Amino acid sequence: MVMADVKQTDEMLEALFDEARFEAFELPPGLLARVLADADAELAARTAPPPRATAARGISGFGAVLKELFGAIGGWPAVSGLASATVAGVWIGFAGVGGLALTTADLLGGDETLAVMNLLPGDDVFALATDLGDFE
Amino acid sequence: MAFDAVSQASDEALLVLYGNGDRAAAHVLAQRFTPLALRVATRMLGDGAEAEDVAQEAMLRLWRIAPEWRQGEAKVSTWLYRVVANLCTDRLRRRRGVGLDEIAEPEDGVPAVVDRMIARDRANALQDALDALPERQRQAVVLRHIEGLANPEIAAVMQIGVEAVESLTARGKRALTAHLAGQREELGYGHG
Repeated sequence: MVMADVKQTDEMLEALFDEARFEAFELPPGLLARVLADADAELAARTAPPPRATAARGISGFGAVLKELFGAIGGWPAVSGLASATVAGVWIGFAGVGGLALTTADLLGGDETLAVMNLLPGDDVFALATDLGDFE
Repeated sequence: MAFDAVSQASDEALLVLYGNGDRAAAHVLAQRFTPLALRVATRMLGDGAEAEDVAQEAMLRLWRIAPEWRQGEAKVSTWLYRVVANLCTDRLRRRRGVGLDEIAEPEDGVPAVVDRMIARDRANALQDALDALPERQRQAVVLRHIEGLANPEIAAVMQIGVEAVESLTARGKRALTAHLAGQREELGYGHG
């Protein structure tokens, strides 16, 4: 290619670049909407709370509530403690409180019971209580 | 933030706003950058449908990077140009089934390109000539001569030195000139 041809082709190339630079580039229908839908989806994915463990295992409704309550009170150890307390309550209900004196005596090791223990040496407090009682 | 204020905000500020959950910022960013992504992808791939996919994918990557965007490190446009270029390169590699180093020099594709140019208008002639360039040359030429980027920004996009950019664009232009030589009259430049 002679120099004149090269120059003319260079000029043509520059003209083609200019035309391409200013070429109206219209977005195809739907592309902008898809791009914005992606933006919204990303935003939603970032702001959504993490999935709950119960939901992930497929437990729902009343079962899920029980499961949550079970966990909240401390699981099996707590349930066993509650069961023991319940049994003790039922036993006391049937046996009455009379038997408790015997149990207390056994625990304290002797004939002395809480009722006769003098935790505050001296009679001042009891005397004061008695005096106050007299005004009622 | 009011829409007017959002529409006048800088690219980086908009990206940070979107990263913080501002939908209006996404609208402005999409309107600013989707045409850019589509334009470059179309020039790189020469295929409208594929270019649309690339533009959407590049914008999706922009949405995903938003929460982690570190201000002052790069221009949003530079980052997006790079993503589009990389996505296009991946597609061209898959399309041809060969690595970049194995791609033939532009002279190999001249006859077919010239034959196709006969029935096409100027824009298509340029696109055909661009299609025949090796990817790196095409990328540099598109960014320099059609997108109008300065060489340092092209260097940042392509992650190469400025001298390498100059070399790529010079070789690309020479190859384009060689492709288009003899087509002046057909393209209406015969008497210019």
